[in-house]
Amino acid sequence: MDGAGLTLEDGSMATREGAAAEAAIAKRFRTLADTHYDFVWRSLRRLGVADGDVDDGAQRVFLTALRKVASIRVGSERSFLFQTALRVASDCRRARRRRPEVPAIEEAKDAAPIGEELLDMWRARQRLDRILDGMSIDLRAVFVLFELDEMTMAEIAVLLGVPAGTVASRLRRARAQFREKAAALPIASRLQGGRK
Amino acid sequence: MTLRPILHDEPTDVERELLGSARLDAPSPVSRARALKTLGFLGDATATGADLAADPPTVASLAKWLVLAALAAAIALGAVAARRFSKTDDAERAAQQAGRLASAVGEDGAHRDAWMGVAPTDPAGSAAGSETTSLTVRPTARKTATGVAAPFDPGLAAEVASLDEIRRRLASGHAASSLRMLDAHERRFARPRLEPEAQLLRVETLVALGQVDAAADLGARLLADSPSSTYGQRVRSILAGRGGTGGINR
Repeated sequence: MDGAGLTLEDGSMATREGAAAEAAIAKRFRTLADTHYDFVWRSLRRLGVADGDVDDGAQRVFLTALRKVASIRVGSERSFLFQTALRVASDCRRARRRRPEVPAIEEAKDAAPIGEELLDMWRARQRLDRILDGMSIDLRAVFVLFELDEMTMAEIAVLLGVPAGTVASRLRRARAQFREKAAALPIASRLQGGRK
Repeated sequence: MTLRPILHDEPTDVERELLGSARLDAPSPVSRARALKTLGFLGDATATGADLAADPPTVASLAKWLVLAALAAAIALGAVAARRFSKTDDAERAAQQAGRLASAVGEDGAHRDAWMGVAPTDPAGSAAGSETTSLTVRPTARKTATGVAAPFDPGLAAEVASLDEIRRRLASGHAASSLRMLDAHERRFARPRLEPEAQLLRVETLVALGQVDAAADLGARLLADSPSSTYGQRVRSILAGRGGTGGINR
């Protein structure tokens, strides 16, 4: 019930505290975004979000972070952001499946003239995507963090909130899948990949 | 001791090239700057991440926040006195106060909207068609007059804080008050960036008030706008469970 006198005091106090809280949120959020934006963007891309959707995905991750910034434990920011990125990536991949696909390589070709070496790299990136797409999200996350972000297993365990043994097990399986699929690439792709 | 093994002793060229191709995974400086700006950092659209990172904790920005805090305290004290002679709703007063705070730091709505990628308020409604319907905000390439990175835009943080406060109010059983705060919220944020969130909260509030038909109507509109979004799923969930809370939490 909103008693008149009580509400007056409660209301004004809440407003005064609200202004200070907003300032604190703003400061912490800016640090968060400045420090981790590239990591979030990169993670989304490597978790299967299409090139054209990554900017939007990163925005969604940080909007979620902004909403919850007051409750994110100090020191756990990176972990929170990656876990959020996992969920956003999952949503983005689902949405992408409902839309006609525009191959990233075609987008790149249309955007600007592209050197042969860069074109090879784009093709390799597409093949890497296809291999990663074949992994479960759990394996993929560990593989990406370890092999591409070069984090240690201990760091990954903290980031994902799982035991180090689980990380090691997932990494072992992910690597086995990666090696198997890399070896199974069409001959032409492998020749292209190994010609340098 | 390091736990870090290598992929295997002698990776093939193919494997090396596949893993190496991930070097392409990086936001362009322009894309990064625009995204940060869209999230509430006002500044030069072409600023690099390093530029943005180097600028923020300046004495000037700290002083600005101190002035803002002093203004907030003064306004709050004034509001306490004024409230004794007024029956203005507390949420409405908070909205007015926030508007004054925004003005105090020079972040008027039109300026902020320009940076957030939406058209300024147009009395004739001609800008209505340009308003984004996406759940995420798309930036524009407009620049500030100075072209210098400026502090965090308080608008988005304020909008989030406002919705959180309303949500807490609803969760504590004050649905009627929550509804008034939602009305005030909509007046305060004429160009909301989190409109689906606010609408969803309104559906929940209406259900809590027992206004099931109104909740269902609003829910149906939300579903029509974005049937497959997570918001749509939450609307269905709220409306499906409406019998248990309707008319109780006032």
